[in-house]
Parts: sequence; C-alpha cells; structure tokens
Amino acid sequence: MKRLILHIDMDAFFASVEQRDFPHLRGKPVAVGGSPQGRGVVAAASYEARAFGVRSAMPAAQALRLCPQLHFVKHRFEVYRGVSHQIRDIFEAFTGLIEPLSLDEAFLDVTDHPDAGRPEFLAQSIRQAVADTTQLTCSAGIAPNKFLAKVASDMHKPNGQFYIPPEAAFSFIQTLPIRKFYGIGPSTEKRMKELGIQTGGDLQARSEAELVQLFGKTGHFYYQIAQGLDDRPVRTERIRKSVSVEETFFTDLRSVLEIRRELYQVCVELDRRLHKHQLSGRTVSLKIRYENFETHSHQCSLQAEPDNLQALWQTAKYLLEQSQYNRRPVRLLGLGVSNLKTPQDFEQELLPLE
Amino acid sequence: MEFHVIRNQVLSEMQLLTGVIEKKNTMPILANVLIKAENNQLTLKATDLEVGIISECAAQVIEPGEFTVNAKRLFDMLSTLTENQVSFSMNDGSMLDIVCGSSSFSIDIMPAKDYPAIPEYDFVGSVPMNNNFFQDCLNRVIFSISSDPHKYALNGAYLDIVNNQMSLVSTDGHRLSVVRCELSQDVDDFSAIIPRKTMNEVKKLLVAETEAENFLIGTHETRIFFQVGKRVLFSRLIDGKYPDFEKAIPTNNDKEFVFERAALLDIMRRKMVLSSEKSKLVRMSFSPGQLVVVLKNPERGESVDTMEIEYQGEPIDIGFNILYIHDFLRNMSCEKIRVFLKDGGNQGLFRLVEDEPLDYRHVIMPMRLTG
Repeated sequence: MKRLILHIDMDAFFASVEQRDFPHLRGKPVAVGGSPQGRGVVAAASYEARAFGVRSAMPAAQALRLCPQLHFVKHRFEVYRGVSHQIRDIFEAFTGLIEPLSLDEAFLDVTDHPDAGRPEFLAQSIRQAVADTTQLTCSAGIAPNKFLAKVASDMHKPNGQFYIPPEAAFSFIQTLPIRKFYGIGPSTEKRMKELGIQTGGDLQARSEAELVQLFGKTGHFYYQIAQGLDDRPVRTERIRKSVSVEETFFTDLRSVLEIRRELYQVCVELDRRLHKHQLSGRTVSLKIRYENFETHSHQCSLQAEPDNLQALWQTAKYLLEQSQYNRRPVRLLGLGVSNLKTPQDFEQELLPLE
Repeated sequence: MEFHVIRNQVLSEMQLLTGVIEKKNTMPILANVLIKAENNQLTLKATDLEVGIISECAAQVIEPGEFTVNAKRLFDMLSTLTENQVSFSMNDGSMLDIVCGSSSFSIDIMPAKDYPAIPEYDFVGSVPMNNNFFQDCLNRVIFSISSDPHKYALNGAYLDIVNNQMSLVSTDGHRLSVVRCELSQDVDDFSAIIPRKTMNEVKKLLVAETEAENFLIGTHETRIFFQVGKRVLFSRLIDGKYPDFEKAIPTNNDKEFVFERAALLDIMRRKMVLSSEKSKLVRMSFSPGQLVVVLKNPERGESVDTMEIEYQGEPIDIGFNILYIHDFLRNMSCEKIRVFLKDGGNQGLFRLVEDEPLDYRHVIMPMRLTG
C-alpha cells in the first residue's frame, strides 16, 4: 500500500534557537558547542557560519580559524529539549506515527491524514505551525518512504520542502549522487566510486545478486533503496540499537600505557551505562581518532554478550591491538556495544512478607 | 608429645572439621585445626569464629600435648597415606613428624595458645530431637534460605518452638518453606535464626552419626549448640528480626492438582536444559483435562510438555522461575505432591501427599509479565 512519509528537519536548530533568544546574534555567524580554548567541537553552526565553511562536529579551534568573527555560544540543552517537545506536540496534532531521530528531526507517517491527497499543502501546514509556535524554520521532505523523505528534506534547505511523488521516485534516484544515499558513508562511497558507481542510476543498473556479492548483506539494502523500495515503518518508540561512550583528550595521548589507561576508563563508563539500562550486546566496537583526525573503527562480535567489566575490557584490549595506537598519537577513544539483547520481560514477584 | 592413631578414624573427623574452616580466610591460624592429645584420646577443634566443631577420636597417647596444624594439609596427608597406623610426634616443639609405614611427613605447626577460644556449653535444658526426623526437616528448608547478603535476617533458617509446636522456616523473598510439627515431649519455648552454613554443617553431622537416634539442641546467649553423638557443633545466631511469614502462606487457593513428583521433575529437568539467566520463566497452563508446560528461550529454543490432568475448572495460566520449581521438586523425597493455585497472579502453594506427622508448605511467587 502507498504511504506518505514526511521527514522534518529543523534548520540549524541549536544555533537558530540561540539567535532567536539573543537578538544580538541574529545575522551573525554563530557556533554552539564547546570552548575553542579547549578541545570542544561545534555542535551546530548557523547558516552565516556555514558560509565560512564551519560545520558541525568540527573542532572549535579549526572553526575559529575559518571564521575569526565567529560567536561561540555555550549550548543550552534544556532549552533545545523544551523546544523539541513543543515541536513534537505540533506533530502529534497531525499524526500519532512519529519517529524522532534526534531533538531536531523526525519522520512522520501521514498516510492516514485527511490532507494526504495534497502532500505539499500538508507539509506546508506543519512547517507553518512549527514557525508560528517556535519562531524557527524547518525543512521537509515528502516521499513514499523514509529513505526518499530523508533525502528530500535536504533538497531545498533551509526553510523549504521537496516532494517526490511515487511515480517520480525511480527517476529521482537515477540522478542522485550516491553520497546522498542514507546509510552510505565516505568509505562505502569510495568503494562504490572505484567500482564505477557514481549515481543511483549506476546502482539501479546492477543486479541484486551482484550488489550482495560486492557488499554482503547491505548489498540487498542498496538494491532495494535504489529501486525506491523501502518498507521500513515509522517507529513511534525508537528502539535503542547501541550503547557507546567516547572521550576526546585535552592533549593527544602518546604513550601506550596512557592510551590503555584511558581506554580502561571509557570501558568502565560503558560498563556502568550498560548496567544502568540493563543492556548487553554481542558486538563490541572501538573508535579511535588519531592526531590528524583520521578516524578508524574496529569491531568484533562475540559468542556471548560480555556481561561484566572484565569481559568487556578483554575485548577492548583485543580491538586496541588491531589499531595503530602504538605508532600514532591518539586524540579520541570510544567504545560501544551493539547487537543488543532485549532485557528480561518477566519480573519475579515478591512474597508479601513485610 | 607422641601418639598413635588409626588413619581412617582421624580422617573421617577431619572431613567434618574442614567443612567449617573458611576456605579464603586471612588469619593463618583459622586454617588450622586444634588437636589435643591426652587420656588416650584426641580432641579436635575447628572454627571460623562463627561456626565450629569439637570432636574426638581414640588414640594411643604416649606423651600428651597440644598443637595446631593446617587442616586441609593434614587431611590431604592422611588421605594420601596407605597404611592404617599413623604416628604423630614432636621433638623440639616446632615441627610435627607424621610417620606411616615407610612414609613420613615433617611439617610446621603453630602453638595451641594462639588458637581462638572455643565456647563451652553443658547442654543443661537442651531439647532432644530425633536425628532422621530433623534431617527430613532440614532437607525441606535449606534450599530456600536466601544467599543475598543484603537480606541479613533471611540468611538463615528460623527455628521456633512455642507450646511444643516446632516450626522451621526459610525464605529468600521469592519462595518460602515452612515445616511444622508437634514435639512429643515438653520443652521450653525458644526461637533462633540459624545461619545457612550452620544448617549445612549440622546436616553433615546428622548424616555422619550412625549410632545415636537422638541429638540435643540448646541455645546459650548468642549461640546455638548441637550435640550429635560424640561431636558438638556450635554457631553464632543471626541477630535479626525474622519477617512475619504467616501472611505469605495463601489460604484461599481453591484449585487443587495432584502430581507424581518424579513425573513433574522430569518435565522441569527438560526445561532446565534450555533455561538461562535471562530466560527462566516456565509457563504452566492448566485447562480442563490438560496441563501444558512451556519454557521459551529466544536464544536457545523452546521446550513443551503436555500432561493429562483430572481438572474441570476454569483455565489458569501461571509463570514461575524454573529454578524454584526444580529446587522444590528435587529436594523432596515423597511420591506425590499437591499444588494449590488461585490464579496466575498469586502465589502457588505446594504440599506433599501423606505427610503426617509433618505439615510442610512451600510457597512460590509467580513471575509477572511486565512489558
């Protein structure tokens, strides 16, 4: 059955909230995040800042080099969370099927809305409601599935929207550069380009068997989305898929002992979080960023979930050995667990003793 | 000092004594057994400061004396020797020589004066109890004593004697065992919480005693004493308030089922194969004429058993922790059991068929579906 999915993405969310609340920042390049004196990174940049090349996740010091007049603002997460709730309430008025991806973006399944026959009008109404309530702008992608909706919301950003009707999906994908595909990261992109795959059209030309042979299980997924097929439902309650902890160091770590010690601390914190949420997972991954920002990840899947700190640390050490930590200074270490096991659904009742 | 003993006689006493010695204690002297030789007899004592055993063994004492020696090592030495006659002697006071046929050991000892004081009790006013009867009581309650150190008062069994009516109780908060009976002779009222380790060691002493039919139980200050034949076991009691367990025993479970214990145990053994820490729910669905028992483990598979039952009431669906059901069935020795249920949300009551003169009730709380 045909669905109508919206992807709504707030425009430079954190930075826009700051500009809204502090008029002196309006029209100026603004970055929200950590301090440029330390090792902070940019959490969000206003469009004025983006014009200078400032991007989110960029080290604050680098952002300041690109844009010396940049206004650095300390984040106010509780405010962003409050605004996010307001937006969520607006969405609720249109549909019950909402899948928030973060504070500032969400998928909405509006198939059953009375205005589903006028998709562009419907998206316009939602965006207008958001603007009226929050004085913030957002962009919308309108499409028959999540993959296309997500790509579409980026087309006319900021403060715009883009509609991909079902019959236009195939030709839209044809010209889409593969880097725009949801789930294709820089390394897969490189690999695809080596194979002569530049656009969705190049992907569409390959058979499913061929893609599976080249990319394993995800090849099947690439084939599906290239054909415009994506039946993943909009999940109202987002299910946690992984738990991870990472740490950026104030100064690069150069000694093997130091790196192992810091990784152990990350490991302890991860173990604590896993226990807190009563989660355990079979796949452990190590993220390591070197001095020059090159970031590698190493992972392995175990027979059984590492259910204690000792087991987790064993695996972390094993993964560390796969890296180049003994040859290159390390800037960031992260450790995560995925392939999560669902917690016990049954609870033991207590005897009425006291 | 010099004495001669029969190896097997010392060995069987040492086996009981090593049971109370803390395996991972930090005080070296507590790993030792205190041995005193006089009047053609050895007195052996061991304690972990909480629980202790005093025992004796015949010996041919040439020159009396006393010493302490590592209990585990002495036990191992005696069990690896082959001849039955063993001689112990000590010359300069620091090394003990053990000679058996053509083998000999020479080992370090520690002086007897360094050994902690062992409490004494004269058993005046103690309660006589039948050995086999009390063993039966122990078997029915020991398995459900809590091992959670946070539930201090539940780390022991509650022994209560009021008006010649004895109750022995244990619970871990999820399940409860209560055994009750009428005592045949007049005894003074008393109650005590006996630590789990003590219960286990008493059981070993009762099993090891083959001659005397009865034994004595008495309390003095904060301790309890058991005199089983020639051996005495003493233990500190748990200083705490035992919860009011009576209200956890259901009185209006109106649906009754009778099972062959062995048949139900077989079913639960099959469930145990697939159970794990995260999947231990065994679901019992009672419907007219049939019981279906299911355990599902998303990672290992599922096990289903169907059984014909004589039941015509409304269907009941109840889930229990497989370990609890298995523990109960495996620790009983009767042929048939009775299960009383109310519904899927209330505790199940388990009793034994033809259980006189004992009155035993085991209660298990169900597991509830949460999400």
